[in-house]
Order: sequence, then structure tokens, then C-alpha cells
Amino acid sequence: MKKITCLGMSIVMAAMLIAGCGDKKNTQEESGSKQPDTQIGAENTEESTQQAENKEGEEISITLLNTKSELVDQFEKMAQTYKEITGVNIEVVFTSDVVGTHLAERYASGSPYTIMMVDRPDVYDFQEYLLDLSGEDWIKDGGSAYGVTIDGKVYSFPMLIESVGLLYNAQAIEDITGKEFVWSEYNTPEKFQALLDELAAGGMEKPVAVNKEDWSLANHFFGQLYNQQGNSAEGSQAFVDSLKNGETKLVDNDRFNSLMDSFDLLAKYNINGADPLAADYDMNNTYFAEGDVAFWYNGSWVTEVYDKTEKIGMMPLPQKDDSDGANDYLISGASKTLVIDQKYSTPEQQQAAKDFLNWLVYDEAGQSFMVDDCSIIPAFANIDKKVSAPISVAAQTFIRNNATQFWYQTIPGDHGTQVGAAMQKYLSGNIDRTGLAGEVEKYWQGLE
Amino acid sequence: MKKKEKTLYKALWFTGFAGPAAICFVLVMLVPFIYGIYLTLTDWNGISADKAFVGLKNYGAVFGDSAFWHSLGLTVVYSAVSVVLINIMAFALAYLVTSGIKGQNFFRAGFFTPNLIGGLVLGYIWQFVFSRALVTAGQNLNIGFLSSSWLSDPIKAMAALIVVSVWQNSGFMMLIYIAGLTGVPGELVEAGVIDGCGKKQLLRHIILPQMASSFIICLFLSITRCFMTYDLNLSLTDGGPFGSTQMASMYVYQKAFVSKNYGMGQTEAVILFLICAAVSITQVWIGKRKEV
Repeated sequence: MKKITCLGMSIVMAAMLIAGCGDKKNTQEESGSKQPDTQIGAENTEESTQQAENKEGEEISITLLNTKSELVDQFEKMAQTYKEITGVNIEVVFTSDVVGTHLAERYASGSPYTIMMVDRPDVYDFQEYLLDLSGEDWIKDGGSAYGVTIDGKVYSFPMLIESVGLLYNAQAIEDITGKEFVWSEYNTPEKFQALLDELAAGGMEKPVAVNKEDWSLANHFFGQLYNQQGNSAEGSQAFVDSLKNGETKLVDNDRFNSLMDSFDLLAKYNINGADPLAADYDMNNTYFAEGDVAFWYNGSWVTEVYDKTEKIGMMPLPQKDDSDGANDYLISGASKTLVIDQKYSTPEQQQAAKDFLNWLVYDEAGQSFMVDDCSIIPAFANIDKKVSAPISVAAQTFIRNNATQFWYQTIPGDHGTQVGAAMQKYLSGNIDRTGLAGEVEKYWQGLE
Repeated sequence: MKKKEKTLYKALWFTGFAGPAAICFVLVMLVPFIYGIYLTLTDWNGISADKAFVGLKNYGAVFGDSAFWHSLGLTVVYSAVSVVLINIMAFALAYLVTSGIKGQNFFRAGFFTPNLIGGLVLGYIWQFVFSRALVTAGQNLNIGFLSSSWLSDPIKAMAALIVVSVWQNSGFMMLIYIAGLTGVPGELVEAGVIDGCGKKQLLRHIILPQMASSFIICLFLSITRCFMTYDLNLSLTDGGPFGSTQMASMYVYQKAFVSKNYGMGQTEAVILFLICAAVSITQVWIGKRKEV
């Protein structure tokens, strides 16, 4: 009995194999048989138009890559709403990988997303695959100012404006000092240190949280060195170029020393000071939200800190060298930006993606998604909605008063790992300031 | 005529059984491998559609890349220590769970389980153990070397990697050793006992030589696994602190995808492959001569 079943199954399998091969053979023969070329061409076009028709009849489906972990839920919900309103299906995908790396993999396998949320340097890297958005309506409302422009063409949609700086928990400070906290009263290193001492004496032994992540240490904190160079893109670029060709010696550089003095100050009062490289981002977030620390060098993207108090805001890092408005202006710029793929997406998908971007800027529901749901500070002048999250409010106040510093965002992808490693060594006391300067200079000179 | 039919029959038979596997092997191993070698001759950045041919320039550049050789050195140290510990541990465990202790099947399953958890998950679990659980325990019980996170010190972080890798791999190797141990012919053991062998002598002169093939397999597997470690490296230390535990695979990845220098990263991957292949082949070749 068993033998018969076995035999039966193998016969079926063999038959399937042969059938499969046979089919292939048939089609090969057909295409191989000599038909006039034109006829084949005609047939093909007929087929493709049929396909297009089918697509139009069906619903359009696009994919969107989200790279902001704090907005995962909001994006999912928005996709549902958007489908109800327009019928267009948006599949939202999230990744916590480095965006450029993730997209390089996706492009290598020929399956990128229709809309991708990327960092500004990525736009330059992937430019050949991206759709030129210069003709869109939103260009005039802030797209040209905040989007990434390459050779006169705008390739990216500025999703949001973000600020980097020192977050403060005013409630925690006031609980100890007993008087209202106004950041501008503490925006020099001396006054700031006096406050830290006062907090330490008042029971908050270590009032600062310092991250150990590469992006925070290297790109955001150390990045201030590139930002505060004349408060313009040209100034920053010239400074970076002078690092590359070895003209600038960091040890003698005022901005570098001023910045590292402030870093030393933060590190001295760091709650993770005993073992600074064991710092954990989520723990820092909790320390800050609970008021165990009063200051955290981070940015306006921090959202989950309002459980205990809403009296939370943001200020520039107090520094010795206050040129370029370093102590009064907040570093702000369009960071995450949306791009549309033109190589692998169908024209219908590209159009749907463009429509989606317009919806974000010009539709009440789209604006509400950005400002109310995501607490995003929008880059577009036509949106007069005000954000409600306190940190974003603080940042938006700086932006509306034009009290912003330029944010140099075209640093290479490996700046984070290389300079980040150097900063970690410095933070954990493995190298001194000269050593740090040497490693950073070596990194930039190696790029030439 | 008949002979021809027979050959045809054999060929069909062969393709029927080996065909699918062979096709898979060619598609997912051979083709990418050859394409990869082609990429080492280009200056591709990993993104762009055009790949300019640069000849052997990448190979020259790799020899000047001291960071790569440093990470390779780290890999060698990590692999050497791990391989020794994994195999000692695995053999000891195998010996233990075949010696007829109570509940040995339960122990077999228990020791094997870590191998079923993926390297990434495992890395994150151990990251918590090293940076939170052990630290809390160390601080409360006043154990000096545990009171700060292992992952924030370069040498201890390397030790942490080795500990986890031993924990993960020894269960798998244990299975192979168990098979080897149970495969030792009973009559040889009996003969030894009759001749007056003690337990130690039995192990040294009869069991170990009989198990040479198990050792070859285990060494081969553990060497290749350790040399290619990426997932554990990524999830446990992420190359940190300050890049001090970045091993070769991870360095290659960083080079190719983060520094956007795919051609060079690929070249380094090929070199890593050659070294790994050379080590494994030598080891198998030496081992084969010892086999009974």
C-alpha cells in the first residue's frame, strides 16, 4: 500500500515537473517561430495598454517609508484616513536603520518605496533616482527655501523643521530654585554653571543627561562646530573645506574650544557620569521626563516627556564664544525630507505621491496631521496652525522671531560613526581634547 | 544505444534530485559571488546606476586601510578564543549529558535552545543583561568588576562578545559531539575496560581518537561562524565602545553601505573570505590526517 502511494506521488510530481518544463518550451517555441517583428511589437503595446487600464480601474497603491520612530502610530492612522478620503492606499513602512543604508539595499534589489523620508545628505546621494519636484505648488510656499535644491531643481519636500539644543525641564528647576525659570537669564557658561551648582546643592546631584549615541554626540553636539561659522551655508561649507585641506587646526579654534568647554560642563554634571558610555537613550528620556535631570542636549523631536509636566522647553547651549548668536539663537532647519522615486514607480504612483504632498500642505486634514497629530513645525508659510507640544512651541517661537542658527546638514554618512567614536573616547576619558581634535581632523582630511 | 539510454536515464535521475538544490546554490551563492568579485573591480558607491571600472585599484587601497587590518586582527583574536572555548564547553557538555545523569534529555534540549534564538534577539537580551542586570547586581552586592557596564570598556566588551558567542554556539556543537560520543563502538570501549583502562585513559586513548571527525566538523563550523559574526556584533555592542569591537564583517558593511564605498567594501569582503577559507581548509586538511 505504502509503495503504491509513494509511486503515485512521485508520478504526480514528475508529471508536474514535465508540465512545467513543457509550458516553458511551448512559449519559447512560439516566440521563436518566425513572426513579423512589427506584429510582436503591436501585440506587446496592446497588452501594456490593457494593463494600464486595469491599473486605473483598480485602486492606486503607494508605499511610504517613515524613518521617525516617534511618528509610527500617527503615520499608520493617517494612511487609514487618507484612504477613506481619497481612496488611495498608502502602505506605511518604518525602519530604524540608517536611511541611506536601507535605501541603498532597497535600490540594489530594485524595490524602493514611492515616497521616502530621508535625511538631507541622502537626497544628493540618490538624486539620479528621484523625481524633480520643481513644478509643484508648494515650492513657492517654502519648498524652495527648505527643500533640497540640486542644479536648480528641487528634489525634496521639507517635511518639518526641527531644532537642536538644550532641553530644559522648567518644573524640575523651579521646584529647587523656587523662582520662575527664564532661559535667557542663564545663557552664559558662568550663569549656567551657577544654576547647575544650585541644583546640585538642592538635591538634584547630577542635573544633566548626556546621550552616548553617535548621531547625538557627533552630528548634533559636535555638529554645532560646523553650524556656528558665520550663520550661513557658505560659511559652514568654507569651514568644512578648510578642515578637509588641513588649514584649520582645531586645537587653536575658538569655536571648538568654546564648544568643548560647554561639553565638559555637561559631562561634569552628567547623570551617567560614572559610566557615560552605558547611557541609554530611553533611560535619559525617563530621567528628563521625571525631573531627575533638568537638562538634556537633544532636539525638538522629543515628544514623550509630558507625563509629569508641560513646563518643558528648549534653549541654545550656553557657550563662552557667543559670536554668531550662539547663545541666543536656536539651531533650526528642515531635517527629514520627503522624496519621490521616479525610476521604479509607475507614473500613476508618482502622481498619487505628488497629490499626497499637496494634500499635506493645502488640505485642512493634511495640515492637521502634521501639526496636531505629529507636533511637527511645518516649513510652509501658508500653514498658520500653531503647534501645541511645549518643546515645539519653544522652537517655533525662535523660528518665528527669526532667532535661528544655520544647521549644516550635508555631513557625510560615516561622520556619525567616525567622529562619534572620537567623542565617545573623549566622553569616557580615553583621549583628551588634543586627541579629539586630532581624530576629527584625521577624519575630514581622509575624505579628500 | 542501450548505453546512451542509460546515461540519459542517469542524467534525468540526477537532475531530478540534485537539480533544485544545484539551481538554488548557483542562484544564491555562485552568481552573487562572481558578481561580487566583478564589483571589486569598480568604484561603485552602492547607489548609482553606473559602475566605473577601476581595475585592481581597490585591492591596492585595502592594503593601505589600517582600520580594516585592525578589525581583522580583532576578529582573529575573537575567533581564536571563542573557538577554543566553544569546543571545550561543547565537549564537556556532551560528555556530561551522555554519561547517564538524571534528566539528560532535558539538559540536552536546554543547552541547545540558545542556538534556536537568532543572533539579533540574543544580542539585545544580553545587552540588557550586561548593561543593566549585571550592573545592578554588581552594585548591590559590591562586586567590583560587575558594577560598571561591560559594554562600555573595550576589553570587557570583547569579553562580553565571546561569552555570548560561546553560550550560543556550544549547544549546537554539543549535538555533534553527542553524535560522535554515541558513535564510539561499544566493543572498543569494552576491550579497553578489560585491558584495565581507567576513565581518563579510556577518554584519552579510545574515545577522543574515535571522535576525530566530530572535532573536524565542530572546529570548521565554529571557525567559519566566528569569522563571519555580524548579527551578534551589531546587536550586542554595535562596534562600540567607540568602534573598539568592530569586527571584520561589520567593518565591511560600514565601508560598503555607510561610507558608501561599495567597491572597496566588497574587496575587503573577498579578502575576508579568502582568509577564512584558507584557515578552514588548513584545519580540515590537518584534521583529516588525524582521523582514524
